[in-house]
Formats: sequence, C-alpha cells, structure tokens
Amino acid sequence: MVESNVYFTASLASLIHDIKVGKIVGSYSISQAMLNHFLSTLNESQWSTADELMTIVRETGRICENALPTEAILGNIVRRMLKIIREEYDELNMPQEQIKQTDDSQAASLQKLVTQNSEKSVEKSDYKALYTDLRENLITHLTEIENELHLSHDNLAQQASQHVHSAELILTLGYSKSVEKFLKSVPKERKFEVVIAECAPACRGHLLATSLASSKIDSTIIPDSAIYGYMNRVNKVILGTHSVLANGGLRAASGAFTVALAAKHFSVPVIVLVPMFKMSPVFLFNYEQEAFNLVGSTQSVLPYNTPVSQQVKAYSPAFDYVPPKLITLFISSAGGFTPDYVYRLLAEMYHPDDYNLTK
Amino acid sequence: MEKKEIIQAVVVADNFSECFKPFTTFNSPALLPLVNVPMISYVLETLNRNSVEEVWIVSSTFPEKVREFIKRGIEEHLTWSVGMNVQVIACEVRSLGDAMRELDGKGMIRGDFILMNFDTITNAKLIPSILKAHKDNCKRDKETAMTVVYNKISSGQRTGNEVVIATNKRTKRLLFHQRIHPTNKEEKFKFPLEIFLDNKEVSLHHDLIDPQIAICSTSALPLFSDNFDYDTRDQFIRGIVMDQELQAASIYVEQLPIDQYAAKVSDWIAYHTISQDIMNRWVYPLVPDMGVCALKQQYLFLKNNIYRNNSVKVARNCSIKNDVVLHENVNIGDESLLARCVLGKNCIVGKNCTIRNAYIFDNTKISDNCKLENCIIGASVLINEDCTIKNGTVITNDCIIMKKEEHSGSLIQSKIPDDDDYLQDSFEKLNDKAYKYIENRESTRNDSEDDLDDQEDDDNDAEVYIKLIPKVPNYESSAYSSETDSDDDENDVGVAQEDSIIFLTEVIDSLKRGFDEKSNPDFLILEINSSRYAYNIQLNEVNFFVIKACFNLPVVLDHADALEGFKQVYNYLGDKVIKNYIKGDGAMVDCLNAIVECCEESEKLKPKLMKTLHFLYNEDILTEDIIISWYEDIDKNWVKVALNKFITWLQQESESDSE
Amino acid sequence: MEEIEISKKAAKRRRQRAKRKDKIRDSKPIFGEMESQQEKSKEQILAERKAKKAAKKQGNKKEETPIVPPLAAAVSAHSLLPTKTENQSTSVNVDKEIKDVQSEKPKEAEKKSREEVLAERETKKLAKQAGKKKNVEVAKDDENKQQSKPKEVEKTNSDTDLAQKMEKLHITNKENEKENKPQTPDDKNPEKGKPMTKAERRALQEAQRAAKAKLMAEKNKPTTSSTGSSTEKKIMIDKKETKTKETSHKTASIISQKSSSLHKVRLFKHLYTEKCNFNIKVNSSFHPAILKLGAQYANNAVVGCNSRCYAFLRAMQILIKDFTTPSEKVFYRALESEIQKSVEFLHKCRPLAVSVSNALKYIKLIISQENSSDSDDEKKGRIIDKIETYAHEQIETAARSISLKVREKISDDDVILTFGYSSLIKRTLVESWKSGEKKFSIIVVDSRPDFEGREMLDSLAKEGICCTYVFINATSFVMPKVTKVLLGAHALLANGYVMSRVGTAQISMIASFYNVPVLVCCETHKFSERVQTDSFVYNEIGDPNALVVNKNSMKPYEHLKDWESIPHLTPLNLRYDITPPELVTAVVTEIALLPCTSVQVILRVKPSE
Repeated sequence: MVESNVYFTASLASLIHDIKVGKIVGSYSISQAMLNHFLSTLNESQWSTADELMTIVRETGRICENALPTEAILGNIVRRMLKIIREEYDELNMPQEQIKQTDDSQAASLQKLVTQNSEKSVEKSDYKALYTDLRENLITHLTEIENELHLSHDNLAQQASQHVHSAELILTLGYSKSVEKFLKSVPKERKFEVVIAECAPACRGHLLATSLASSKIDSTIIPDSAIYGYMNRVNKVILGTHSVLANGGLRAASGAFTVALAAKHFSVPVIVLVPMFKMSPVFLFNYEQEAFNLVGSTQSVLPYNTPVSQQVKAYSPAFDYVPPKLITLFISSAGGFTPDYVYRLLAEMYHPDDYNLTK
Repeated sequence: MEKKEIIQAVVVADNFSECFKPFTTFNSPALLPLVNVPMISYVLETLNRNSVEEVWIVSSTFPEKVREFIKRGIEEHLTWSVGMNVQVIACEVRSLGDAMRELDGKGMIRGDFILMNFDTITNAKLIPSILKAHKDNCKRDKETAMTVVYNKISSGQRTGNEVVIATNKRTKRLLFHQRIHPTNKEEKFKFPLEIFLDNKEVSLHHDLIDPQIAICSTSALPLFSDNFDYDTRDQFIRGIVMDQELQAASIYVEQLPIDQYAAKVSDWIAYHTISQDIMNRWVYPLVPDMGVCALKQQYLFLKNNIYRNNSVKVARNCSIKNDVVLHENVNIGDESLLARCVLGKNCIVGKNCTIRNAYIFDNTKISDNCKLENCIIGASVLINEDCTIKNGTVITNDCIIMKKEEHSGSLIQSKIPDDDDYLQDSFEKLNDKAYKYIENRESTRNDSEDDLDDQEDDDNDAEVYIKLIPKVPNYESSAYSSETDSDDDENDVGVAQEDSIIFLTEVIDSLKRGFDEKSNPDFLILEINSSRYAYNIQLNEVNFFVIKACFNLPVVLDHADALEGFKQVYNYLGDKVIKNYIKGDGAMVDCLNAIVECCEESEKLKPKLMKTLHFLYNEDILTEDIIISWYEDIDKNWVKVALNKFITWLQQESESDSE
Repeated sequence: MEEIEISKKAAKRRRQRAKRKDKIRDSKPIFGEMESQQEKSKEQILAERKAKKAAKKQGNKKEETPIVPPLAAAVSAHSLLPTKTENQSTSVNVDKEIKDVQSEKPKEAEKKSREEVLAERETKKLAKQAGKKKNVEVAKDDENKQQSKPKEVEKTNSDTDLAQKMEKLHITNKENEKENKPQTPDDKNPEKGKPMTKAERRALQEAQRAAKAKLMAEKNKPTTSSTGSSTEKKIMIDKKETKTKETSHKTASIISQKSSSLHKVRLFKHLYTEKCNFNIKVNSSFHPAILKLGAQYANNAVVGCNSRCYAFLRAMQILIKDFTTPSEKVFYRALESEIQKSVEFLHKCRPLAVSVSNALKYIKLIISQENSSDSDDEKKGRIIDKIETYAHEQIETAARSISLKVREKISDDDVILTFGYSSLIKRTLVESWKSGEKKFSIIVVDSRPDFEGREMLDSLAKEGICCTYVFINATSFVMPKVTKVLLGAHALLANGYVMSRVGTAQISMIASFYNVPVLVCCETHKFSERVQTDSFVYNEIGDPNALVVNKNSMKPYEHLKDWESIPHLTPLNLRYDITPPELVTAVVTEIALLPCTSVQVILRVKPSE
C-alpha cells in the first residue's frame, strides 16, 4: 500500500488521517493544522542545513498530495514553507546583498521577474551552509504567516464596503466562510439582498442563508435550478472557491460553472473571494486530470433502494471548473486583481522550482 | 466524540463457513481481497471512522497471517492504525459463540462494545446515534444484552441475510426473529400469539437485512458462556428472544438511516454485488479512489466508474467499458475488452482478451485470447493462451491453467489441501499446479439467479454463473448443521415438530454420552435444558421426550429384555434426571404417553408395557390415581387390553388403602 | 380558557371597573383636543363592533362554556394560535404605522381601525396555517402577560348592559390611543435587536382582540338565535358592521401585502396567491367534476402540461354532458358563462397551463358556433365529440408524430441529455429505443425539490436503456460527453421564448456553451401568443416547504427546519423559467422542426384561433 517512507511520520499520518476522516474540515483549519505541523517539524525533527529541511518539507508535501490530492491547500502551504526557507537562507547567505534582496522582495519589480532565471544560473545556492539562527528566523517567519492566515478573512471582509452598494441583489452559491464574513461586514445602513443557490446535494447554502438571515440580511434560498431564471435581476455574483488554479480558473463547488456562465450571459460581474493561501500553481489539463474532481457518495443523489439503482450510474461531483474568462475579479486579502494577474501573484508567493512537488 | 469512556469493538475474523472455499483452505477469509483490499480492512476503516479506539480481532483460521497483516498495517500507517489500537486474538474457535466465550474468559471487554464480522461492508455511522440508543436501552432496562442493527432491504435479491422480526413498537425490543431462507419465496410466518398479547403495539418488519452489526453490553458475554449451545448470532438471538424471563436478557433493534449502506459478503454472489456497489460508490467514503484504509491515493476516478492507478498501462485500442478497477502496474494488451471487473497489482492481460464480471487478484497473468467471465481468479495464477473460464469458476492462488482449456463452474486449486475433509479422489489432476474439485452440486438459490440476472445488464450467462457458485450452507448453519435444517424447513413445515425431532436426537445423544461416561447427571440436565431453549420446546414436551429418549437409548434397544435395559438406565439416570423432569401430574401423563409411544414403536417393548408402568409405579415416578385417570381417557385398545390387569390391581390397591 | 375564567373574574372586574372609570376621567383632558370629527365616527364603528362582540361573548358564555368546555377550550386555543405568528407578521408594518402615528396624529384613530381590519385579515389567514405553529404555550403566556389589561376591559363588556358597554368601549379605544402616544418615542429608537418593541406588542394586542372578534363573528350564526341581548340593537350593529367590512375591503389589498411581505421575495410579490380552501367551495354551485379537477390541480395530483390539459378536457366533457340550459336562456350563452365560472375557480386553484387555456379557447369557439336550432342534446353531443377529437389530434397524434421526427434525429451511440420528467420526451425515447435500430445512452438531469427526473429514470432504465443520473448543478460534469439535449416545454411563447420547468434554461445554456444541439419538443397546442422576456412577470411559486425536506434521507435539512421563525430567510420555489431562442437549436412540433422564432407562423395557421 504505502511505501515505507522515513518522512512519513506518525504525526503526519495522524494529520492526514484527521483531514481524511473529516475531523479537520474547511480550508482555513486545514492550513492551520498544516502550519502547526511544520512548526513542530522545525523544532523537533532532525535537520541541520536548509537543504535537509527542504527535503523534509518537500517529502511531506509529496506524501500529502498523494494522500489528499483534492486538498490543494496543503501543497500551497508546503510551497509557501519552501519559499520562506529559501528567503531566510538567502538572507543569511548573502548579507551584503541584503538590501537588494529586500527591496526586490518588497517592490517585486518586473526586472526581477525577467532576470530571475539568469540570477539563478549565476549563483544557484545549494542551501548546504550551516546557519545556527536559521531555525529561529524560520519560526518567527512562520508565526508571521500564521498571523497572516488568521487575518486573511478579516482583510477580505474589510473590503466589503468597496464592493457592495446599497439596494443590491447579490447571488452566491453554497457556503463559504469568506463570503459569509464578507457579506456580514457590509455596512449595516446599506440594505441589500442576497440570493443563495443551495448547492445540492449537500445544500450547504442553507447554512449560509440562515447565518446571514440571523444578522438581518434578507436572504433568499433558491434551488440550483433557478440560478438562470434569477440571474437577469442579479447585479453581482460573489463566490467563494476551493482553490484558484494557475491560469486563473477556479476549482469551486459544483454549480459554480453554471452560476458564472449565467452571469456571463446576462453580463453580471462575477467576484471571487480568495484568501491568498488558496492560490495554487497547478494547471488543469483536462477535466479528468488527477483527482481534479472528487465524486461524492451516490447515496446523496439517488437512494440505494430505488428499483433501478443497480442499473443506473449516478454521480455527485464535488467541484466545477470555472474557466478564467468567466471571472471578472478576484478579491484577495491583498486587494482586487484580475485572472490574468494570478501568475504574477503566484510568482511572488512561491518559488518557481517548488511549483511541482511531485517530480 | 466521547473521550470519557473509550469505545471498544470486537471483529470476528471468520465466518465459520465453507462459502469462500477453496480460498479459505489456504488463507483466512478475512484477508480475501475485495476490490483489491483485504476484506477486514473495510470493517476496520468503518470502526475507525466511528472513532472506535480499541479493536480485538478474534481469528481462528490462520491467525498468524491476520496478525502479520495487522502488524504491517500499523507500520505503514494505514488509516485504521491511527488513533485505534488493534489486537489479534488467536484461538481455536469453531463458532462465534466460542469466540465470545473466549473473550469472556480473557475478560478484556470493559463496557459496551461493537460486535461486527469481518465481512460486513458498511458506511454506517454507529456513533453517536445508535450507540446512544443502546445506552438508553440499557438505562431503561438493565437486562439489555444487545442492540442489533438492521437496515432496509435494498434490491429484490435474496442473500440469506434477510430477516423477519417483530418488535415492540415503542421500545424497539425484539420479540420475534426469523431468517428468511434464500431459496423459497412464498412463505408464511408463525408469530407466537404471546407477542401480541404481551405488547400493546407490535411492529413487524419483513424488509430488513442483517448486516451482522450489533452493540453488546457486558452482559452479553456471560450469556454466551452460560449457554454453550449459543454458537451463532442467530442462536443467541433466538435463545434470548424465545424466553426472555428465563434468560433475564433482552435484545433491541435499531435501523440504519436509509442513506447508509450495510451489507454482508456472505458468499460469492454477495461478493460480486458488493464489489459492484463499492465501485458504484454506494459505500462512500469506502471507495477505491478515496483509498480504503490507505493514506495514499491509489486510483483516479474516471467516468463510468473506472478506477485506474497512474502506473497502469492500457493499450490504445482496447476498450474499458464500465466499473473497472485497475491496480498498480496493470498492463492490458491490444483489443482487450474489460467490463465490471477488478484487477489486482501487477496483473498482465494479453491481447484480445475479454474479461467480464471477473475478479482477478494480484500478480496474475492472463495470456492472449482468453475469455474470462463470471469468475474469481486468485493471486499469481498463470492462465495460458485461448482459455475460456466462466460460470463462477473459482481458481485459487498459484494455479496454472494450460492452453485452450475450458472451465465452467469448477473449483480449481493449486495443491490438494492436507486437511482430510477433502478426499483425495474428489480431485481431478489437471496438472501439478491445478487440481479440479469434483462435486455434484445441486443448483441452489434459483430465484437469486434471476435477481442477479436482471442487474447484470450486459451478460446473459449470469444465471449459470450463480447456479454453479459452490453451494454454500448459510453461515448460521455452518457451525451447527442440525440447526440449519430446522432453520430452513421451518418455513414450509411446522417449526415445532421439526425442532422437536432434533431435540429428541440431542437428548438421546446427551443421555447416551452421560450414560456411557457416567458423567455427572446435573450436566445432563443442563445440557437438555439448554438444547430445550435452543429449540424452544415446551416443558411438557421436554418431559415427554426425555422419557422417550430413555427408552430409545441403545442400551435399552440392544438389551434382550428392554425393561431390564431400561432399569439399568434408570438406576443411573432415574432419581436425578427422570425425577427431575417427571414431577407433577401433567409430567406423569406426559411420561405415560411417552412410554406408550415407545411401545408402539418397538415391538420388544410392547409386551413389557404393563411391567414398565408397574416398575415406575414402584419407583414412585407414577402415582396410581394418575395412571388410573390417564387410563380412563385413553383410547388405544391395545393399551386398554395390556393394562387391564394392572389397572384393576391398582384400583384394588387404592380401595384397600382407602379402607 | 378565558371563557371559563371570565365567570370567576366577574366579581373582580366590577371592582376594577370603578378604578378604570376615574382613570378615564383624567385621561380624557389629554385627548380632548386631538379628536377630530371624522375619527369620532370611526370610534363609533369600533365601539359598536366591540359591543356586538360583547353580545356574542355573552351568548357564548351562556351556552358554550357550561355545555361544551372542550369546544370552548379549542376555541380559545384556536384564537391563541395565530398570535404566535402575529408578532412576526405585524412587526414589519409596525414601523410604518408608527411613522403615521407621529406624523399625522389626527389620522391615528382611523389608522387604528385599519390596523384592526388588517389584524383581523391576518388572523383569518394565519388561522389556516395555525396547525403548523409550535410552542403555543409560549405565545399564550406572553400574550397573557402583555394584554391582560385590554382583555379584562373586553371581558367587562360581557356582563354589563349594552349602554354602559358603548361608552366604556369608547373609552377603551381612547386608552389604547393614550397607550401608544407615549410609546412612539421609544419605537423610534435605533436598536432593532430588541425582539418586541412596545408598538409590536400593541399590534399583538390588536391582533388578539381582532382574532377574538373574528372568532365571535364565526360564532355569530349559531349563537345569535339564543343570544339574550336585544336583537334590534343587533340589527343596527350588523348594519354598522357591513360598513366596517367595506372599509376593510378597501384596505385589505394593501394591508395583506404589507403585513405578509415577510417570507415573500420582493421580485415575486405579484405571484404569491392565497391557497383557496375547499370547505368553502364544496357547497358551491360548481360541478363535482370541476371541483375534483380543482383539487387535483391545487395539490399537484395532476401535473405536466399534457395531463393537465387532458384532465381539463375530460372535466369539460362531463360538465357539458350534465349541463342543462336554464329556462329563458340561450344554450351556448348559458353554457359559456357556466364554463367561464368554473374556469375561474380552476384558475384560483392553480393558474391555468397554456395548453389548458388554448383548449378552453377552442371549446369556447366550438360552443359559440353551436347556435343552430336543433336540440341541446345534439349540440352537446357534437361539442363533446369535437372535444374528443381535439384531445386526440392535439395531444395523442401530435405526440406520435413528434416522437417519429425525433427518432430520425437520434443516431447511434448518441448520449442524450434530458431534464426532469416530460411525458412526451419519455414516450419519444422509449419508442425510439424499442424500435431498436439505434443504441443510445441517456443522462437524466434532475433537481430539487421535486425530483421529477426519478420517474423518468425509472421508466427508461426499466426499458434497459443505460442511464446516468445527476443533479442539475453537475450538468457541466456530464455535458462534455453529451451529443444531444432533448427538452420538454410548458409553452412556447410568441416571441420564440420557451417556457418550461425551472432549470431548462440553464441546461440549454450550458449545452450551447459546449456546442451541443438543443431540441425542444413541444406540441402546437402549447403555443401561446403571450410574449415574455424574463421569468419574473409570469410564473408560479411552489410550496417553499418542499425545499426543506431532504428527499433522500426523508429528513428536513437542519438549517432550514424552522425557516418560518427566521424573519429574513425566504426559501423560493419557482416553477418555470424561460429560455431565450438563441439557446435553442430547434423546436420539434408535429408540423415540422422549426426555429423558435417561427412560432408566430404556427400561431397564425393554428386551427383553434
């Protein structure tokens, strides 16, 4: 079954297990758990040089991707982790260029992007050198990231006032923590209505609807079939997503495609809320690509004791792919950007060498 | 969930039956791969998802292999190894009952525990809802022994797991339990009248199947130990249900919500259906691409329920239709057609093969132009060119099938097992790596054929396939043959006398044994009683049969003078056993009737009737007025004649006494 | 319960009455100047209605409480039930009302009377759904807390002579006014979190009193005969009552909308309809066949355009058969009016399907032609025959020819996607499968809440067609494989839009995104000359509670279980949506395969017009 692997520690196993069995749910808490795991790895596991650490992390990432291919976030956290290891190392490695380094990383200039490859070819650091205070730096940096994660939803929510005006009719789909916070943090004096497609079979839309209603936002629940019918009165679509692909497409709850397409048809703007850690540098080649789509229980679609249940096939896919051209705007904790810009953000967040963990 | 008390579970890694022969002759049935995963791991996974923390696997056949499997699993961090402590108990048990007794002896069960069989495939959520229900039952009624979990019947197909039960509508207490026989459809059920007298509302269910899930209280184990005739779950349940007041125990019933799946791999047919269900994702999340018990994704899920590992090599122009599972490094040649089949690791399929409804385990090689339909083929088998294997052929591990062979509904194994229940001559040697098991099987479960037939959309020989599936005695029978007969026949013939006949034989056996070994008569009584409960025999019948048994003992029959023989028996059994039963007038009457019946049966005894009665009378087993009154209303002439003198004598006696 | 308590409290009340008297005295000056003439009259009306109420109450107290306490209890409970909902439903319009209160004080009284009427309306409506309401007790005792005072006042009326009542009631109202004057400030206060503002409470009281009034009104018939109170007064009261009634009629329309705007989506206000209850209708003059049909429509026993049309035609035939021309009336006029009447009823039960209204048109046409001089029976015979042929041609034959046309279009190994259940589509697919020349597979798309697709799935799978079943939000998951989309239609509008089961539009949208041809099957008798460009103007709203149950596990979704108690939450269950022509490749009619846009052509050549 699983090749015995030195990096496949018991703690990692239990982490994966908990996610798989559903003890840890929701991208936020998952990434939380992952970060904690790395924090402990930093402290406990045996590593001296950055290189060793990176191998550990990379292996961890590989195992995770094997175990839970649908949880893109794990991979992202890993990439992020690798990235910061590189940064910290470089900082220590070339103190004389520290200034350059920093202003590069801050004003991530186009020039850097262009020269990146050449840079690497010039001095490709092997991360072999020993630095005593690397560990501390990493830990501090990691905690920073953790805070960033904590704030990600709030940062998103703060921008609500810039995007929702009064007397709007907003359509959304299913349940998304970020969407919930976003809509709730719209200034109270702006009266607006929300239409929620329930997103069968899980119907997590109900959850969103009730929670919005409880904070006095008029919310209407419609079955997924009524999306098109409603769309031509809607004047904004706000979606959450499971993850954003490298081309700016979405892997979102199934039904998202319908929503986006209908919005396109009536040229309603589609806004996607995406906390930074949901951006993954993965491309979708075809719909049946490795575990792009997770197909759920047949029971949820068709009861087992229907007369014909043995002869028919029934699927309940969990995700939809939404092509970038159907998306008007992404809103991340950093601000708004268009699908075309995703690659750029990715380049800033992750190191190009880490894009593909399972190589 | 609830951390305060840890949840324990017991998994019986044996179904004590022949149904997976010949695989079970070489390996534990628990490790028989189902969709490329050893069957037991489904149970473990389920238990783990139910956040069970301690699991005991009771394994009798090849326990070392099971233990090995568990050990490896823990090393590899299989899902169930996380946060769940699994231990294997190896013990020579020949039934579930024994297993329970074993456990009771070990005394490791501290609280309520989940009892499952390795062959239960389910995604049920027992925790917390059903466990809670059980606990409530316990609160309400201290005598709760067990809460059995049933679920609604799914397809029209009979698997031998269907039950008819009667429960108290309010308390869900089980009042009547009967297993529906797989083959005969038209049935009438006899519900004891008391059920309806004693309970306000009774609900009858005939649409339930028993996936062998139960939550037991600690009191369940002692019950097993006290009544050592409880061998199967059914006997246990029947035993309890038949006379609750005597056992001071009760059983409750819970139903799974309809959106949860539970089934039992009771034989190859079930094996086939359940494999299909798994591939059709009814058992989600226990589906191949979620990696049952593996913390690693092994398959991609493609449309039409095709699951393929990344390393699979499929030739471009071969067609893979639907419901196919291809494990690591499977290699399929040109022009081959696969539909509704499972291929294990490193399987190689040659060119232009057709594989339908076939289950092929690891490392097997199938050469070109083979045609495999409705068959199960073990691990590392080599099938040479142009073979046709169909109609429920089962080929065990390491066999070699020569070129152009054709097998239909045969059992083939690589070597002749040494255990003696297979006779050497019952095998036909195909080659030194293949022995064909010859057996004239009568086709069973004709109805389930049709049922399966209409669910197989693409192939028509499903029917034959079923017919030639090795006839499997139902598992509850397997441990206890006589039990089954009763169980099966009770549908058409009246349950009572069927049972009673067996009961009689039982009593005779035990008495005989007791008599020969001169063992302690108390044990005999205990034995008789327990078998009485097992067959639900009324007390008067017991008296009747005990006496009858006494006369039917070989000692009596073989003895020249039957009465002398009986006297011998009596000297030993008399004051203990017989007196134990024959007390009170009713009992005496029973006794008399019994004797008369015996006389009618054996000519040797007939003339001795009067003497016998006289003897018993002297022994104060019978009292004169009973005999007389009984004599009054007896209508058998010969008896009248035979006893005439005796009676008159008796009457004189009594008169003389009265004077 | 109160009814019983009353007798006990009688003594106590006498004492209180005294107290109240002098309270009133000092209350009077405060009000004096504010009361203008016109509101006096209003006061009058109110007062008298109260009086009447009182009279009734007396009546009830006389016979009901002693004889049938259970009934009394039931009655009281009945009167309580609505109150629970009251505090929600009124809460909305309270603020508005408050505004008026401070803005134009003089109008206040009138406002109040309207308020009454409104409340009365409310309760009438709510009494129906009262069955659903849980925790009556809660409602009950907070009611007892809040409106003890006014109730007592009411009760006092019951056992004092009428004259006294008049003025006292007069005063009660004043009191209420006084009550709400000081309230207005703290109603304006911003924090809405507070569950019940005073104003709401007052609304509640009003409602309850109204509820009582209503009850009594119902009691009216049985009790009047035995009411001890003088009858001639009663008469004048009744007169007055009628007056109030008509005022209520005026206000009703506005009010009912204002009040029940809760749990109604603004965009669809115009579509919400009162479910007509049959116990009223049964004793009416309608033909039993019509009543039956109406019931079937209302409870969705008969669904789907064709079957509805069928049922309608049958009912009509029966109606006509049993019809007898009343004396001094022309046959066809009488018949037409008769039909008109019953059709209106049917429409109330459920808005007529296009197919039905077309059929109706046709029937009217043929009736109007029947002005010849021969006997009614002959005419009837002719009409019935014509209806028969209509049914046969328009539905039966059409379906056959359509299924033939579609069969030509199906080619081998097609993957055909269809949505929900449509008798026509089912027939077509099954027939073309049975014909056996083509092997194709089918994807049935389905959607909550009705899962009509299940029926389709069963009937197709039974034929041995290999089927796939997905929910509508997974359409994009299966669409890439699909080669044809086959859809049924509810109606085809004159501007070429296809009106059909909600969800059809988005399926054809996705199909056209993947460049899959979309065929809509629609008999010409479903063509309508209505034009429509969105799904809002004309539509139907299904039972929102249908969305709450999970059909698979037969359990309600835990978040939606008690949506009625959450004011801002509204499930919406639309029936239809419309698909623009550009998303439909072709419409298959019995006449020909057409582009949607050529509907008008058909309409012109249609015989029925």
